[in-house]
Amino acid sequence: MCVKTKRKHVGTKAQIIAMKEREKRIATTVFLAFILIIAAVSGYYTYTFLNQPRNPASPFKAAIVDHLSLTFPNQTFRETATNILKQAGYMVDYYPGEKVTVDFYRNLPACGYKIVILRVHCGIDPSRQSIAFFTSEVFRQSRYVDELLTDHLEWTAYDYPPPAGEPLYFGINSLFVKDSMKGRFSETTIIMMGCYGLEYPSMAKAFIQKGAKAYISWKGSVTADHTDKATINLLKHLILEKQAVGQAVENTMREVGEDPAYKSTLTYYLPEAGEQTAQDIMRNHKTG
Amino acid sequence: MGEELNTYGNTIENNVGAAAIFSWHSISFEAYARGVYFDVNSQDNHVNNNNIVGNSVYGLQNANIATTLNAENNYWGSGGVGTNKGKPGEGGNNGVNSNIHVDYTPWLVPGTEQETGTATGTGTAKFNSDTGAVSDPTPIGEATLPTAGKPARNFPHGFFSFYITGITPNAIVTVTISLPSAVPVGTQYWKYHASEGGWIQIPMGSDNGDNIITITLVDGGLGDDDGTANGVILDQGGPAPPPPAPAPTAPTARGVGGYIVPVNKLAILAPYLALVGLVGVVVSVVAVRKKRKN
Repeated sequence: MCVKTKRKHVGTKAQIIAMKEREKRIATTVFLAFILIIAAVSGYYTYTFLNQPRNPASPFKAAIVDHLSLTFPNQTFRETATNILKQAGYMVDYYPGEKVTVDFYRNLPACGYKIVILRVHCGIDPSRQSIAFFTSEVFRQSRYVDELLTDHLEWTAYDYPPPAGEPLYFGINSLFVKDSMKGRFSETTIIMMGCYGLEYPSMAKAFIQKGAKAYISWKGSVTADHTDKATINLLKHLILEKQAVGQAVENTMREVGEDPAYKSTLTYYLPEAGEQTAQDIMRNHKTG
Repeated sequence: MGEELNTYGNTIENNVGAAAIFSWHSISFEAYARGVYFDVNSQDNHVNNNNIVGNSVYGLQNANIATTLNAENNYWGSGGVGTNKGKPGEGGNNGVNSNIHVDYTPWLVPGTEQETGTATGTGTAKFNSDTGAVSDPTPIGEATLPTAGKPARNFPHGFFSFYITGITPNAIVTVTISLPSAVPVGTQYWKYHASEGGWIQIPMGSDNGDNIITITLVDGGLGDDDGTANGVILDQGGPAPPPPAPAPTAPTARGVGGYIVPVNKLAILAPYLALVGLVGVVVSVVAVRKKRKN
């Protein structure tokens, strides 16, 4: 009985010590896990901060975003547009279709371009009065789930309903421009060469809210040949002849007319942007 | 032509040298026994494409036995059998006073197909109706019809006029037209109808891409040129195939636009929901097993 009691007593003490040691181990593990989490979070934000695109110091930068190079390649357009921009002193970055991804658009405002030429396909949903720029990223179940669920990204397709086997592409809409794009445009002039760019004002408004100065595009669908021709004329008027946006658009329309197939017209947003010239664009950049 | 005959008994007298021509009327005057009476001095008269029914003595009587009254292509009734089907005087049909002095051959027999060549020389077109009898199909050249308001379509077989007799007033008649060659689905049947305001479209039935089309005409209504519910329909129209489909657009002419496809959010969430479900199941199983152990 005594032995039993002693044994029991010894056992209880050992258990208490073991329990204390166990608690210590648990506390240490929790503490280490906490430190690890803090370190991971700090590391992520440090990495993000360090890798955030910044406005390069070089002025007069222009971008040609050529998503149409995948379906309607036009080397002549690329070269002519580049030459016009270079003549006016712009450094030109060319992005072929494969590079036009969701993250490309996400980082675009922070790149410091004064002129962005979007030679891109654009999808439309008349029921929601919404448009979305195509990316070349084919839809994947695990990508951008949160932005799809919160309507910042769309599915886009070349035909509707999409034929069996034809992929869906991620497309960016006006909410994406407003909320998901990083940084701000530097009073940039956006030339959206694809269809429907100004079918509804929401996309233009989003770019303006994001810092763009003017947004020029088509009201309606447009053929590739026609928009290429019109854009070259527009760039000449806007960049080389230093015409105001409104005047350049008007002269371009007078020269090329409405689209022969879809009868669409080139226009711009906001009305006051019509008074802006290429010189203003450069001046704003220098002072800004 | 095409006017209502308002007189009763219709005796025509002393019209030497002046031809009285009756066409496309209903001649049905039971109370006066004779449809039309031509007296002894009448001559050079024509009575064609009429409904001559319901006259108990004669449908036509020519009292001038020195002449022969032209009474071809009239509808005398549906009586008679075999080759005598529809013949004057047979099986209760209206008759004539003399088969020598009234030339009633050919007479109209319901359901008999009538044919004519087309104005454009594409071949022969045949006409039949589901009630009454078609008569006198005639080709009409497109150039003879007014151009104002004409649909911008081709009429490869030109136009036709024809009559339908032996029908009750206000009857709705389906006419079957066998064209010389097939016409595509989407063919329309157009006619110039002055009293209806010009060019009008006639409802079509069969339009399945072969050479047989059907149209619907109404006595005194749509498609009846005489505009009177008199048991006779006069129609004048033609089939117009749809314009050729535009040539396929060249790839470069395609717009640089596309569509936004509604995002199927449930499909996106499905794998995650499945994972949560799986975790739930595993946790439940573990809990149950632990409980059993205890």
